[in-house]
Amino acid sequence: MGSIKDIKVDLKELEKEKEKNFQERLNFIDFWTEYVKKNPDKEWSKHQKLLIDNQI
Amino acid sequence: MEYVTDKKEIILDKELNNLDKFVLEFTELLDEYVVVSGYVSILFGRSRMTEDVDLLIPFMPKKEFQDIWKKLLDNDFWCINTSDVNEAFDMLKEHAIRFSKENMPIPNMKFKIMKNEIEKFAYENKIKVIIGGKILFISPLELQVAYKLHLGSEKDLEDARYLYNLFKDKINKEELDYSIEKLGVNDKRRFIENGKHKRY
Repeated sequence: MGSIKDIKVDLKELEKEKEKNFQERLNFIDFWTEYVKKNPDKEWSKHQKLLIDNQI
Repeated sequence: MEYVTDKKEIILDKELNNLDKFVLEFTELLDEYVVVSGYVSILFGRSRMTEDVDLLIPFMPKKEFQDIWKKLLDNDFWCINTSDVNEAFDMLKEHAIRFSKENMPIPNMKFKIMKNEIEKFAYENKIKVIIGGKILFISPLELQVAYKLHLGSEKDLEDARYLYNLFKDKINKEELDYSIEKLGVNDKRRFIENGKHKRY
């Protein structure tokens, strides 16, 4: 098994990846906002309930 | 959902999740409070969970706190920080204390006395949410968006963006501008208004 000490890490690339990931999350949030706006409360909240109740 | 801005009232017909039920069960034992921060976004549909809910209350004398304490314990809530009411009251002067359902630390209610002007403003200008036949008081949305920008983590920026976009047509733009200015977060406005973002 190799060691982490032997690999090269490009911090700039990681930073770019982080930014891309954040942008992608914001895109999903925009999608979800539209979904909530366009659907009745009972509809979107069913999905939210699944997510939350599975974690509590 | 329907936001009647002149009545400062939002009617929400959602399917209640366990977090909503926890919050409603807790808050119906209180007369004066305002719920702030992350749960406000979740209440209106943000697709995420939280381990704690932030709740602000006005300062109260010890006797009043002891009454609330008893009411909470009678309804199977317990204080995570201490089992001693006097100690809890003393702690409350310095920092938030947490309540949860007995032996279930998550989710919990972060119970805090409002101290600064921003917190008092949130309380005095709270919005009434009618949900599941119950009433819940939350912080004004304009302040909520600005405060989330102020907190500034990715999660907070996402919350701000979600709330702003959801209520964009109803939000009081002037109040939002003032809130953003007061909290010194004008440079973060792009996170709620534009399509492209640079985190740092």
